[in-house]
Amino acid sequence: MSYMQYYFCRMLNVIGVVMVCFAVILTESAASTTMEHCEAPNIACAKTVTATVSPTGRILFAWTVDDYLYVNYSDDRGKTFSRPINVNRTPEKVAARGEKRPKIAVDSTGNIYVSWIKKLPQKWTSNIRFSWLKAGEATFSPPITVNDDTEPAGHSFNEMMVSDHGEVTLVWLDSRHSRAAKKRGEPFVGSSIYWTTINPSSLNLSSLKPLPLSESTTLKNTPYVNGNCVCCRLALTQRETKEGELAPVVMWRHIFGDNVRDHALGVLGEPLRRVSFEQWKVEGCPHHGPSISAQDQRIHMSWFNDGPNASGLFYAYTDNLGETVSPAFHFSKSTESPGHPSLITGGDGKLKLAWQTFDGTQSGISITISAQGEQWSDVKVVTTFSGKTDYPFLLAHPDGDLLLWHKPGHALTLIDVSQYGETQHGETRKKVAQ
Amino acid sequence: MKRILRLTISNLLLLIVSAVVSFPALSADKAMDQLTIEKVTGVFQEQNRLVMLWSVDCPPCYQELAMLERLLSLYPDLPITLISTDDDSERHEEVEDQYKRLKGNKLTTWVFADGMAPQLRYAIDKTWSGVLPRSYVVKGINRVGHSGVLKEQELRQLFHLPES
Repeated sequence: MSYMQYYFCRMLNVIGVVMVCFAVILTESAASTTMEHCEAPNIACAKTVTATVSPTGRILFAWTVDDYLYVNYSDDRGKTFSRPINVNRTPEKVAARGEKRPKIAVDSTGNIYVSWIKKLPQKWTSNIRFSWLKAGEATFSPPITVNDDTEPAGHSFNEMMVSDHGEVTLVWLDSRHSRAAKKRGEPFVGSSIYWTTINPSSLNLSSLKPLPLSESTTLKNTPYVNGNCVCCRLALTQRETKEGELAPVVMWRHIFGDNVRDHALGVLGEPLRRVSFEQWKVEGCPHHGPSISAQDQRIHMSWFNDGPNASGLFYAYTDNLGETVSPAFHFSKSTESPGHPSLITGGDGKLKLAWQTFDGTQSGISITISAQGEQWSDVKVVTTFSGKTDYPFLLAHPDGDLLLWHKPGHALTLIDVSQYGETQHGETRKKVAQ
Repeated sequence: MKRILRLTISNLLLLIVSAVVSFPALSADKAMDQLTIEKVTGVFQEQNRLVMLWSVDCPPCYQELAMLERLLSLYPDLPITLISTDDDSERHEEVEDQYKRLKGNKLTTWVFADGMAPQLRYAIDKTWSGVLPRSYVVKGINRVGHSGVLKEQELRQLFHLPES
C-alpha cells in the first residue's frame, strides 16, 4: 500500500467522521425547533390554553395535545395545578390554533362544560362538539356533535356560556347555507351564525353516545344571521333584560355592502345592529375577532380594524344593544402591531382591557383600566416575551383579576393584574370621545 | 491490500451512516424553503415580481391560489413568489401539497419558519396587520402592498397579459 493510497483513505476517514458530526448537529438542531420532548398530557405542550373562573375562584383550563382535549384547574391562582382530566377518550382532530380553540365554562354548582371544533377529513369541514363533567363526577360525558345538519360543512369559531341555572348557550360560524348556495350555483356572501341551547341535566348526556353525521341529534340548531366574516372569532356575553332575564348577546365581524368588514351586535334571535364604522373594505381574512363584556345594562366592545382612516384597536360601548354607540376610542395604533383585545368586567367591577403588541423583536401585553368605559387610564405594559405566544386573555377573579398569556413550550403562568386598577396607574385619563 | 479494504469499508460505512442520520434534517430543508428574517430582503429584491402571502387557514386565499394555478398553466413564466404564513411545521405538509399543484418556471415558494410569524410579518411590512391574502409588487425601493383576493384581471394588467 503506497503512502498516497494510505493518506487518501485516511482523508476519507476524516471526512466521514466530520460528516457524521455535522449530521448529528443538523438533526439535533432540527429537533430543537419542535416540541418533540413534550409528552401528553402536559399543558406546556398545548398551542392554546383557554380558561374560565368559577364563582369560588377556581380557574379551569381547556387545552389540547395530540388529538385529546384536557381540562385541569388551579385553586391558588396558578401556583399549583390539578392533574388533567381527559375529555374525549377517542382521539379526534381538535382545532386549537389562533382564534379557533376549545371553550370552557363552569356554573355555580361546579358543573364544567367544554365545547370544541372537531376537524373532518374534507378541507373546511368540521363539527362543533360538546361534553360536560357533572360536579363530583370523575369523567366527562361522551362527546356529542352539536350541529344538526347532515351534510359535512364548516362549523367553527364556537363560543359558549352558561347561565346561573345551568343552561348552556353555544354559538358558532356555520357554512351550511353557503355550501348549499354554491351547489345551486347561487352567490352567497360570507358565512352564517347558528346557535343552540343545551340543558345537560335534563338531557342526561351521560347516556348519549357520539352521533355520526347521518343521525339527527336532539339539539335543535337555530339560524341567526347570514353574511358574516368567515375567519374571525365571535364574542359572547349575557345582559340582563328589563324583565330581569339574562339574554345572550353576540358580537362579530360582519360583511356590510361591498366587503366592508365592520362589526355587528345582537341578542340571539333579534335584529343585528352595526356597531363599528371604520369602513375596512377587504375580501380576505382578518383573523381578528372582537371582545365584549357586559356591565349591568352596558355592553363594552373592543375590536381590530384596518380602515382607510384608522387602523388598530378600538373601543366603544352601547347602553341599548347597539341602537346608539359611543364614539369609538382608537386606543392602539397600527404602528404598535396591536391585536387580539381581551375585555372584561373584573372581579372588582372595573373594566380591564388588554391586548398584544409587537415591536419587531418582542411581543408585549398592554393594559388599560376604566370604571365604566368613559375614561381610560394610561396604558401600562404588563409583560413582554420574545418567543412564540398564544393570545392574551383576562380572567375576572374574585381575589384579583389575572392575565393568561400562554407561551407554548413553557410552564403556564398567570399574571396578577389587579394592581392596575389602583389610582396611581390611572392619573392621566383619556376620554373615549377623543 | 487488506488494510486498504478495511479502510475503504470503514469509510463507506461512515458515509452511509452520515447520510442516513442527516437525511431527515436535510430533506426537511430541501422539501420547502423556509423563510427567515435574513432571507426577507432577498425575496423582495426583484423588480416587478409579485409576492403573494397566504395560509392554509384562509378560505379566500384558496380562491386566489386556484386563479393562480389557471394563469400559470397558460403563462408559466410569470415572476411570482408565494409565501405561506403557516409558521408551524405540523402544517407544512399541507402547504407543500398546495405548492405541488402549481407549475411555474419562475415561481418560487416559501413557508414561514417555525414560530416566526410575528417577526416575519414585521420584517416584511410593519403596517401589515396579518390580513390574508396579502400581496406586494416590488417597485424601485418600495413594496406596494394590497390586502384581499387578487382578481385574474388585476394580474393580467400587472403582467401585461392579454385580456381573457
